[in-house]
Amino acid sequence: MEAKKVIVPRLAPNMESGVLVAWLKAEGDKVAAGDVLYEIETDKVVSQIEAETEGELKRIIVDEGELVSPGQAVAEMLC
Amino acid sequence: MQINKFCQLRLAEIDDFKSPALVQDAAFYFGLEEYLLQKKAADISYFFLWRCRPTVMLGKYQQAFKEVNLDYCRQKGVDLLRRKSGGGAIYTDPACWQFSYISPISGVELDFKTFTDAILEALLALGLKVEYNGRNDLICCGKKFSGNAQYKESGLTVHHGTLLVATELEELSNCLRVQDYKLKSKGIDSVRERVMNLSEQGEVSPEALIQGVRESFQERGYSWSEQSLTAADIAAANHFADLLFRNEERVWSENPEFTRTLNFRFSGGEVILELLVKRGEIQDLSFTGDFFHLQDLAPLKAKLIGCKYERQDFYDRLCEIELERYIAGLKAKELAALLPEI
Repeated sequence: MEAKKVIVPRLAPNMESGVLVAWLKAEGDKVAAGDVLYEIETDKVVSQIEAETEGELKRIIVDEGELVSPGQAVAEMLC
Repeated sequence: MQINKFCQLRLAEIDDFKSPALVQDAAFYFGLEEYLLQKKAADISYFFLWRCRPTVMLGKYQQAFKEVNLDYCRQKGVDLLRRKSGGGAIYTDPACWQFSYISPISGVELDFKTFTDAILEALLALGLKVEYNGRNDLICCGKKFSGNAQYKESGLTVHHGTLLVATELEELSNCLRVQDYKLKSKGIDSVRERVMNLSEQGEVSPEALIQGVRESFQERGYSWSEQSLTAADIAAANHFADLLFRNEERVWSENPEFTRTLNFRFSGGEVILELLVKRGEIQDLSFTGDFFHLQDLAPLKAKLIGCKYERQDFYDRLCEIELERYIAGLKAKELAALLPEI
């Protein structure tokens, strides 16, 4: 098992930031690849962000309601 | 995969845009969007034009107490629901048309304009002087008449937008005018903009608009087909409407977390009530102030944790525990009046 950072993807070519509006998994949850981890709202668009690999959500780094940018780590997964 | 097929859903049997008796609730159409999303059609985009009875629609992560004049909406019988898309609160009535796209076109290449260009071009073809503003909304003479929002799930995009045609703008303003509601929250705030009706600029019919949208897509190389809803489609749309949109409970349970401090002066002094509200329920609270308390307040506090953030539940719990046994001279009715009626 290794710790892997969960990184905010670039959701649009001109995306500078968005609000991490909700976590749909909690710390300690088992996660399958494709499960929705969290939601981001960028200018009027709510996007669901899915887990790329299976594992366990070890630590949430960014709380709901915080501003995030593409490339930023928002959580750690044990994969 | 190149997705180049559009299908327009013909909804004239549900609402012909003429008869007031046929106007549906917005929940039905949001339910229809959800049904089409769940079908996960991989190679076709659906489009439909609709209208609904007077409704305030909140963005998914908006704080209802900051955005909606609840008392006014209740008094006027205006529906209240929470969309799955982002953005701000809007007021709509049967003279405000809505358009929806459910599309497998997704990912970073997707732009709002993939969907709104067709609306813009249809209106330009009708001789209306319309353009984009910096937020991808449509404006005319510097005033907004169309707002748009999206949500993305399972690789599909739901895009919907409004078109103010002849809406009661005074009602719009009344429903969305909220006195400064002092709470701390991380929800998404609305952006207030000047608005106008398209009817001020010229005539537009639903048929002409749909034809213009079809021509715009066809000119860009998309194929276009039409389809009516079956009884099974309508039943499925109503199923999702009931599940996700007709239950107003969702408006409150999905309100972003907030804290609110309430001050109340009464014959026995001042009480300062601090509340933490999550999923529409009081998760934590404290009573401070210069009042005289008759016994430890812990049972009072425990009784109120889990209470809905609304007047009646709060009042019932205060009565059950007999508030005046804890705080001398403080009446349950007076304290409960600090919370909203919902």
